[in-house]
Amino acid sequence: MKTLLIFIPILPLIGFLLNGIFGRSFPKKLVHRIAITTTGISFLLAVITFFKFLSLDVESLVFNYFTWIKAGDFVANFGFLLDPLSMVMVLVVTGVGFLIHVYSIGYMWNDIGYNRFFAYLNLFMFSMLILVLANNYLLLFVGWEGVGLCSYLLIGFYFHKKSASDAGKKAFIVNRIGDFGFVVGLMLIFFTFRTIDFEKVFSEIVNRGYGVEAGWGVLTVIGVLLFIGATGKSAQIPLYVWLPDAMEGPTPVSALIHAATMVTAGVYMITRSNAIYSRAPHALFIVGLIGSITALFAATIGIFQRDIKRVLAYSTVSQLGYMFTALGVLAFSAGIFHLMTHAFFKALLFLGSGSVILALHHEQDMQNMGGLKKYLPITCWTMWAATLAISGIPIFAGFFSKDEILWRSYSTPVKGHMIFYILGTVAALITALYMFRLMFLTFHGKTRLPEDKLSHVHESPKSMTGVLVVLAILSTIGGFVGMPGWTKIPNIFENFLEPVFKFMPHKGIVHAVEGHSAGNELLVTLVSILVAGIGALIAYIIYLKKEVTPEKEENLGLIYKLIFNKYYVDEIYNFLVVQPIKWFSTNVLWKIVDVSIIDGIVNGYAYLTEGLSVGVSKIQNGFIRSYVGWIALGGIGILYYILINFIK
Amino acid sequence: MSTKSLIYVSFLPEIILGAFALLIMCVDPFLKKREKVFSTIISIFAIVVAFISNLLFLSRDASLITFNGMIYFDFYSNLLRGLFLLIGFLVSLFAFKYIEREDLFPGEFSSLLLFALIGMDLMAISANLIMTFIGLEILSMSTYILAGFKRKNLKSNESALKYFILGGVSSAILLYGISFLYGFTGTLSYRGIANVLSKGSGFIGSPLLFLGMGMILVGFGFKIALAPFHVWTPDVYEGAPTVVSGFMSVGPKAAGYAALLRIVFQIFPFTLPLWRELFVYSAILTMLIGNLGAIIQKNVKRLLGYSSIAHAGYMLLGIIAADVMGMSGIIFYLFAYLFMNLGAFGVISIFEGKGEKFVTIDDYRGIGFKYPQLTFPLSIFLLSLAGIPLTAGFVGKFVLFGAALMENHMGLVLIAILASLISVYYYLKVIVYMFMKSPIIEGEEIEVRYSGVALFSVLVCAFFVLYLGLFPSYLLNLSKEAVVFLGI
Repeated sequence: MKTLLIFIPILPLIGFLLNGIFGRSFPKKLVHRIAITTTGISFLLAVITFFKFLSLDVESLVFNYFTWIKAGDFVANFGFLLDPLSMVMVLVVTGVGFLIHVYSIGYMWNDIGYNRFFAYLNLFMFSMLILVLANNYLLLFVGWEGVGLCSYLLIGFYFHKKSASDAGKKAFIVNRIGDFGFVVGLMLIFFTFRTIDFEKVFSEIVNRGYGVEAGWGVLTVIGVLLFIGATGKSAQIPLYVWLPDAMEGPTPVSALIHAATMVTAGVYMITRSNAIYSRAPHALFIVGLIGSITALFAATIGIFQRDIKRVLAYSTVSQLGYMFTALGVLAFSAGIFHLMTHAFFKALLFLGSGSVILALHHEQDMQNMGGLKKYLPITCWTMWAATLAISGIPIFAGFFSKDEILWRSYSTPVKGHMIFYILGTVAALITALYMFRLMFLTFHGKTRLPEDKLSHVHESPKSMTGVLVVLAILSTIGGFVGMPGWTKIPNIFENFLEPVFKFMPHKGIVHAVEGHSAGNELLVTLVSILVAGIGALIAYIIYLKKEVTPEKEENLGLIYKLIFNKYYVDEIYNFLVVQPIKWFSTNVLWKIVDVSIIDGIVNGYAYLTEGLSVGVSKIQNGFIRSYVGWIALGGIGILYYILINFIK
Repeated sequence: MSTKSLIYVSFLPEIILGAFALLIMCVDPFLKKREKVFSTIISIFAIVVAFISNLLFLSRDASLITFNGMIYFDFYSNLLRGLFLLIGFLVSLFAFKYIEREDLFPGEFSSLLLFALIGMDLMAISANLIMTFIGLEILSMSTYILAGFKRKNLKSNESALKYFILGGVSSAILLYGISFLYGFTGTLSYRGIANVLSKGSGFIGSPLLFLGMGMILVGFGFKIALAPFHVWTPDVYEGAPTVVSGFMSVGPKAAGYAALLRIVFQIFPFTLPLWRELFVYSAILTMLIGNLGAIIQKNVKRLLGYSSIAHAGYMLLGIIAADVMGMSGIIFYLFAYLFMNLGAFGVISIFEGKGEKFVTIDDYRGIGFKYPQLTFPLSIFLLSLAGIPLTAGFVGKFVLFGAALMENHMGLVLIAILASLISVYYYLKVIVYMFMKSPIIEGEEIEVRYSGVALFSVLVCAFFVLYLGLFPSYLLNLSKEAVVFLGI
């Protein structure tokens, strides 16, 4: 099993190496065969591992492959931790990843850089699998940086477009801020516990008898720092701004990296650290609050976006917010549950939109769509399955996971849980609204596409629609593993994940659910169904009955402007952060460093040329003297310091 | 082994290097132009032989002082010598075709390189301040000439002249500091000074003693390029022949650290609290200046010049931590830095083409997938310099930062992390230009010619960067074993 497990990430790496180094000379068919075979086998291995793991009936398995770093009393192993949590993540990553690889054949066939695309995609798979399988924070960080790197490379895939390379740059800079938090958090864990192995850190927490921290203890600080990392990677307020721009990348990338897998890394990491968070109520409150505000905030932006992929991007930000809300009320397994169902339906939505975009020859503005149902039937109906799932319509996957989150935030008496619940419920209404709007504007009503273009519209190739169908099935039935409590059917998903939370305090912040009857739970469920229905109904009346088009929405005036421009957050950041930095770098760095030093060198050359003809003495009069001056100044500084200290 | 033979054994690699250097000088004038390559081959052979003799006579258990108290024969000497010889070996390989392309003189280059290696060795194995100084001067003299090796090139001349003048100033300060120490203790041997200082508490109170120490610090600060003694670095690296810049960025720095570690921990261990704070300020300044300066650079050589300043700053964290983990971290980092920085300079020396024409980032546009055999290794080097996981640079940084953290230097580590996050920006910029920008005129990427030898050495560097990133334990253990001899 140890060998089996290591091959799950290694295979995509092999694919990357083959396509990255020799890909230019490979025929296209060979390129995608390599990429798909490696990820496909890796998915098969994951399934085999899953059944083996079930048959073993253990809580977790640790496989140490070798000692990676050993310095002083610090040890980091290159090891994997296999437990229900990493098992779920591996299945989702390899499964969805494999499907998206297959889809990409059709989507990317006519693009230049076919081998480049698959090479990056395989490298991403490798990094992501390292991230979820790592048995310590340092190795997790390896994957964390790796997926980040692939993300920038893939966002900027169409690098001849300026907007694409700008988006890559933005993602990069924003994520640096997040990474800073994460690295400092990691260092603090190391500093406090002298180890970075997950299981060792958590048992250390238990052994040292850390209780629930009333104030700002070390666990709370670690929790907040790690969460800063999560807000960067998982696009939460205030660092979410890079994700909508990341849609400049090819659509399969949006589906895989910026919806289904990478952006959920923050959710995974916090769930993994549940032993820390369950003892740090302040950190938990911040997680829940940021999560629920993001869920609502991003959902409202989604209402008036005209670009089909941008709607989905804000929707992703919003859904990630839901997951963090779940974590904030200690419903870790509900968060992971939503992560899984979201991976299905959001990947499907993106791939569906990709199918539309491809059919319309890279048209993304919904103003120029409408009535496409006739031309793209499979795309339309599969996307409907995903829409119903994300809106929380019963039976579909998203219903169960979202309902679980809302119920837990309603019933778990942690600080601020009712705020989370209300924000989440309102967001659910808006989610249904913007999703039904998207569907009506794209597939239904009268077409706004010119006649000559319409004749070219045709359904995508089978390799693409096939993937859509598979994902539609998953989006429909994927939720049955997590039945709500009032049905009296056991929640398989939650029971499966149970061992992951063995390090939580027994007398924790609260014991959830107790004191609430099944009746209450049913009520919450009914409310969320009702809310989703209202949202859908509003969309139906406005966009189907009254046939409002995106252009007509502009009549709403101020509110429309505010929301369409995303509350001007980019502009505010630009004013508050980017401009001051620019000012600093032009006026301080540039004027002082560049002009005085760089230009100094240019002048220095002038002196030198002159100097060589007149006499070498001139050079010393140039600016070496100032260099010697620096050295002398430094020397004097040191001596001064020593003397001062000596006198003390 | 008799004492007499031990003397020669402990000094054998240097004797070999010296003998071959002289041999090259004698033979070279008689070679025809087409046979000049022969001198380079001799120098590579000399380095290999020296490396083998270093391996044959290891002193893993005991620390002996030989050569009338001038030389330490211990594992620290062995390991550092191995490091220097590796540097020499790789530089010679990179220089192989470079010298031919730039129409330089292989004979002089090879012998100067061997002399520089002798100087570096002496700095690391010396047990006496005069010996250290002589080593430093042998190294410096050779590098002054190497920096100006392109006699007809204005920039190269400027580079050599600057390095020479500033190096002269710093050497003078260093020597002055040494004379202070001698005046106080009446001896120049490390052990002797340490003995005197540990006995007579009266000496410790003397400000003049500390003046001496401070001046020694200035001298080494210059060699290592610590702020504020770093000012020469970007100019000199930019102007010197690229292969020489590569050598200067790793060689003298490693030698400087090797000697500094011995001096700090074998002569002045008890004054460490005083030094430490100075090192903290210098480290902060060095890391910030190096990284901020690099951001706006357009010239790749200059960019790496600034980055090399920053790396000197990271390594200082090991001295500040002053424990086994920190010390072994420095030695590990020197190895990691050798492979990643020399590798990067090696690729640059290939890309720039005849006459060093293509050295700005703009020249690198669009070559990413055209020459993957070179751009992939270069990306690995840059990512490693940036400290991205699974590379040697990451492990090195992690150990250094971790060591400083364990000794409660939280603020310093925060700044170090911040500084290395800044550095990711400019390293990645080069990668982005290679892989994600099209050339200014479509289809006009630079043409790259490379020899098999150069490609081989690039791949060797890349291999070790990854190898040390994945399996650093062996080298970390060796480093730990070596630093024990410093008596921490």
